[in-house]
Amino acid sequence: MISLFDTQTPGTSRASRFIEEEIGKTRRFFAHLPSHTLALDAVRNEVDRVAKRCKSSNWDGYGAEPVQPATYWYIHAFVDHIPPGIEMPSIGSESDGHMTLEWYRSPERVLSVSVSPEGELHYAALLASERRMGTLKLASSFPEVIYHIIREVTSR
Amino acid sequence: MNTSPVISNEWLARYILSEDHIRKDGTVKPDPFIPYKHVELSVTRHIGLEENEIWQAGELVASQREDQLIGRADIVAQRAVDNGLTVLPAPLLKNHNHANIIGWPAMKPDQKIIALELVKGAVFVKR
Repeated sequence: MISLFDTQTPGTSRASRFIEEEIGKTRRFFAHLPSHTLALDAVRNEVDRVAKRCKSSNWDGYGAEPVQPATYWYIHAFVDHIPPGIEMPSIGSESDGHMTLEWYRSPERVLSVSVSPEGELHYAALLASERRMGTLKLASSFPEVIYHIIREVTSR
Repeated sequence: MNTSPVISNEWLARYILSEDHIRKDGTVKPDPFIPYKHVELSVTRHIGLEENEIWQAGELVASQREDQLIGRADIVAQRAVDNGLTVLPAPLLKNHNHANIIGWPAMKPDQKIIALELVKGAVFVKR
């Protein structure tokens, strides 16, 4: 049986180097998959736990809004698109009923994303002395800007 | 009723009922510092209170929900001022040291950045 990833004697041409690099990328991608699926399941469970805790008003004792079913649906849609190879976020909630995902390295290196019941992603990040923030609409793929900030937060 | 102006080195407490608001390393997430829905953030001034009295105010917050008080996040008032906010005394019948942090921007991402800056200097005190 011939394995897709069996390597033979490496070539020296640009084409063979390209093929080797692509095989390497593919191998790394598939190597992540089983653990990625498990990690996503853990995040989904965390989403369920937090949403359940915050489903009624005043869950924080300060008059918080409940997490709406739409927010729950959108955060699951967002989590489903987290690509392999990046760290998993921790899940939280805010008094306006938004649910949050946080990628954290230190208080000075952190990204927080809020998911609203309208399907908006409000994000804010501290990257040492730099601040980044904005609002995106949840789309059918993982937002590139969020992906790059996660990389910057977690790469050090 | 404590209506004296809040001074910059005063400590302010935000009570925490949810474990999801505390990170694994014991630091505080920005989530409990998002000011919605009155665009003000309720806090309790430490000034003039004994430790047990600071906790009593927290138990009052927890009793609103019949939930367990996990702890409190303490910040220095100056940190709020440094981020363009104002801390105003707003004593309540059952919490004479209650105050509001006001002056928040209307847009959510701007609020989130300020919340991240506030919690950089926050101290979590477990109940």
